[in-house]
Amino acid sequence: MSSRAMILEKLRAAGSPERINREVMPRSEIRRGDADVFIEKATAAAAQVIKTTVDNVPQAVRDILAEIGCRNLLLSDEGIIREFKIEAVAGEMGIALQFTGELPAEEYRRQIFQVEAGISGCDFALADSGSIVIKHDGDKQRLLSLAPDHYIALVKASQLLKDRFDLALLLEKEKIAAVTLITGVSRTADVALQVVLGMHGPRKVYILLIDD
Amino acid sequence: MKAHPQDYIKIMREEIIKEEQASFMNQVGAVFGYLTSASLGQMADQALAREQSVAIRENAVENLPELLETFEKNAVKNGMEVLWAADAEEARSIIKDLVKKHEVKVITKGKSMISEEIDLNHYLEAELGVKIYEGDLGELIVQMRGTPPFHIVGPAINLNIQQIAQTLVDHIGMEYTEDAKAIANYVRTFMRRQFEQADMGITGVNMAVASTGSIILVENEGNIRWSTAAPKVHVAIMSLEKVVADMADAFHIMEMLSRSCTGQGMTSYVSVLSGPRAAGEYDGAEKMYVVILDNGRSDIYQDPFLRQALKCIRCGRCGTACPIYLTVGAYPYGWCYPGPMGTVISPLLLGLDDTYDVYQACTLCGGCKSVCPAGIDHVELFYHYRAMKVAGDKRFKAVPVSPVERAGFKSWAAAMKNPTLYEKSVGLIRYYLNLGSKEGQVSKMPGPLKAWSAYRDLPLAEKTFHQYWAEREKTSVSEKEAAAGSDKGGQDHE
Amino acid sequence: MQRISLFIPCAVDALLGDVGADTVRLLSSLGFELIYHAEQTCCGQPAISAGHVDLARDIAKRFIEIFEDDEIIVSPSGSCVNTVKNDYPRLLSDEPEWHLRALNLGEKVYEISQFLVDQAGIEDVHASFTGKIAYHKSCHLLRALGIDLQPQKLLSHVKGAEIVPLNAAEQCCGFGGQFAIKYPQVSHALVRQKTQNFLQTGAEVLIVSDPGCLLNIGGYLHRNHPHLKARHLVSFLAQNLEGGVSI
Repeated sequence: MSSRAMILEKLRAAGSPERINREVMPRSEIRRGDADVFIEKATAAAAQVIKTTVDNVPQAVRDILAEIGCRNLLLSDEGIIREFKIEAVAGEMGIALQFTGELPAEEYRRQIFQVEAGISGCDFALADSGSIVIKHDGDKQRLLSLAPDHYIALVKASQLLKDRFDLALLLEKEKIAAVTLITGVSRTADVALQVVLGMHGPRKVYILLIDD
Repeated sequence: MKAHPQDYIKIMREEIIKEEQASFMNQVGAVFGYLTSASLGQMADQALAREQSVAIRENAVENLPELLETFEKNAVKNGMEVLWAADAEEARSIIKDLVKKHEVKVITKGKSMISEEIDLNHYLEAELGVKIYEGDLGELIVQMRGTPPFHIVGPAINLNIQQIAQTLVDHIGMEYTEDAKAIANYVRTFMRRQFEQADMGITGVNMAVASTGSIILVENEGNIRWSTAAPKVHVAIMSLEKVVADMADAFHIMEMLSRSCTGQGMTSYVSVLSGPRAAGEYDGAEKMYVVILDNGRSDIYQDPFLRQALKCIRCGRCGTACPIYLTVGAYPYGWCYPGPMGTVISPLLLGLDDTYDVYQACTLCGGCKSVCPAGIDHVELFYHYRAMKVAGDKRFKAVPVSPVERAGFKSWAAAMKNPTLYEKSVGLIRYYLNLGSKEGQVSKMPGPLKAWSAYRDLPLAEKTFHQYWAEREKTSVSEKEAAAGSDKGGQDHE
Repeated sequence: MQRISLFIPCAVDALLGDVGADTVRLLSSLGFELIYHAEQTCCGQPAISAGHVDLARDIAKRFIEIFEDDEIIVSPSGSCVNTVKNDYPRLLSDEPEWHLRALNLGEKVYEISQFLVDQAGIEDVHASFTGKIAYHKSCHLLRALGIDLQPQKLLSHVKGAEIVPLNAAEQCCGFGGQFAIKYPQVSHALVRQKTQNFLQTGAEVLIVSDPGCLLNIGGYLHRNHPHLKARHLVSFLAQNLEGGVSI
């Protein structure tokens, strides 16, 4: 008998004749999130949140890139990036850039370990925890928000959900290979309980919250 | 790691003299207590939230076989391969075969207690010569030092910065510094190289979601994201009780976990993985395996009372609420599960005789139970283990209690059931106590009780309550009689 | 007033008779009529705690027979009250008739501060004491019975007493019954930690509600800090009654 069969048989043989099965968490419809709450929570988690209007996005991006002072970056290749022509903004500043989608796999893997900044959009943001949510469906590569020292996320206010349970409802229905929730900056307290920000992830995270 | 809970007393004696460590850990307990209370207090309805997490885990444990099958079905549909291991040996063997199959040379790891339970690292290194790097800074330190983790979330929490720095100097050539940022930075750079070269990432699983066939991994450092995004192969090991019904249940457990563990509403990163990389992805595993481990849990499951031990969500809050764990530290528990979490599971997995001191050395103060988000009744469980030991238990490897102890309790019980015998026994005990007493305190306790006197005196009242009450009755009777007598014209009944 | 049946733990009877006496003094001063079943011995907690449950069952049944006809039973020990209220029904769950008798008895058993504040509506026992005091939260009282505010309310009405907060007041003192003998080094470390927290308060008296805590902390203080005292709640109140101490 396979281990699988043995284990399942043992579990089934034990156990109550009447198995209880309650729906514990209340199921509600998707609720929108509050931008001010998001800013407060994300900031508390050490992300730098910049609120801007649709018209001001290019300038806001310029300001962030100027502050970072990076000489190169990688961009995800999707809606919001193209919509606001981020590649043009960065290009005009003399920053060397590539869309991840335009690179062959080995070249992407070489560059992702060396590039100084990564920029992508998000799929959702969770107001109550100050988190951004990225669905890795081929447009937004996983290491783009992990490997570079600096990461810039573009979020529209209309993408704000109230909290993780709204996201849970959505994830229940859609099949995605990987979804990452990012809250602030990576950290460790393993060095004698002293908190150090920017452990294995980016040292600085910028969230551009676009009021749309 | 190899379990050795039989060494409890020996190791406890070594640890208990480290007064500074105990003092420090008590402060850590207080800080964690404060942070977690504050965090749970931020929830809209904290009491309801706890009811929900208890119900979710009860649900999950009661429906375990169905949920596991549903999880497997959906995970396979998502493109994962699900493998089942009856015990530690089989789990190691399965993973060894995967390492060989994929010609793995370098492995990076997310923190996984299960991998410690099955002693995976040592096995793979010895059998195959692969290089394994713990990605979590605390785990990396203890891996280098060859010691067990001190706490589920802070494996190196008992080390000071000098010890941490020296470990990194000795093992990975860091230049000695006591600057925490510099130390973290050095490890960051060092691990980047390993993440880049890694052929396989091995992680645990915080929650397996049955309805979507997903696994959820939470972390603050980022080493799990690296280990699941950079290498071509991902192996996730989970013990069979980690499954929950759906995404909402999983997210609630996740919230209770992070609030109870480190006082965070959400950890820095949460990875919800539902299969190997999607089309168009350059990152993410091409092959994803989930290893489901039994290793004694289906035996625990047979007992409807004991199976609550499987509700644990591994938040570690019990540890920071346990005065004994804070005082003796992790090492006496002799395994990868220290503190009350260990006292719950180790006796059932390793046997009641081998873990005797683990569940006996507890005051049953209930601190752990009072903070457990899964609603485990630690006190009832430990009472149960002690009763199982007295009677002997074949399932969980206990021979009956020693005839000497049994005889002792039988005579004690006989005295408790017979007032005359009770009073004589009390009189005898008091006689011996009084021999070592002065001014209402006993400074030298007799024979079997002398351990008490090593550290403290014992208050001893002049009379028993029985004596006091009898005298009081006599006095009030003679007072009544005197009152009655004086009513009748002053006859003296003195 | 109702007659109160005294449930005096074996540890109080044998070692801390004065705590029993102070229980009588306090309740009498408040006008309660008291009865005491002299045939009582022990609730059986040591046997339960050590796993000798069959022996505990016999002791439990005897206890139930002694007390079940009383109207109200009061005890100066949270751990013993917990044994009767919470452990007895579980212990006797396989015998439905005894289980029910245990449940019924449990409804009538109270720890003394719980009785005074919740049942009798008394918070001010008319005591006075000049000085600082600190309050240690005994484990069974706090966590097993959920009694926390009641002792503190009684103390807050003691005229002149300044209650100083105690760090980690809810942390176990390390008694644990047989634990103190079986694992003396660990027990010692815990009572030392408790004492360090007490020293920080600057108070001269530490009030405890459980005989076990009193034996442990009281004995430790006497050996190591003899100018400081641990007192049982009822002793502290009874010995400081404004009307003076009655016999």
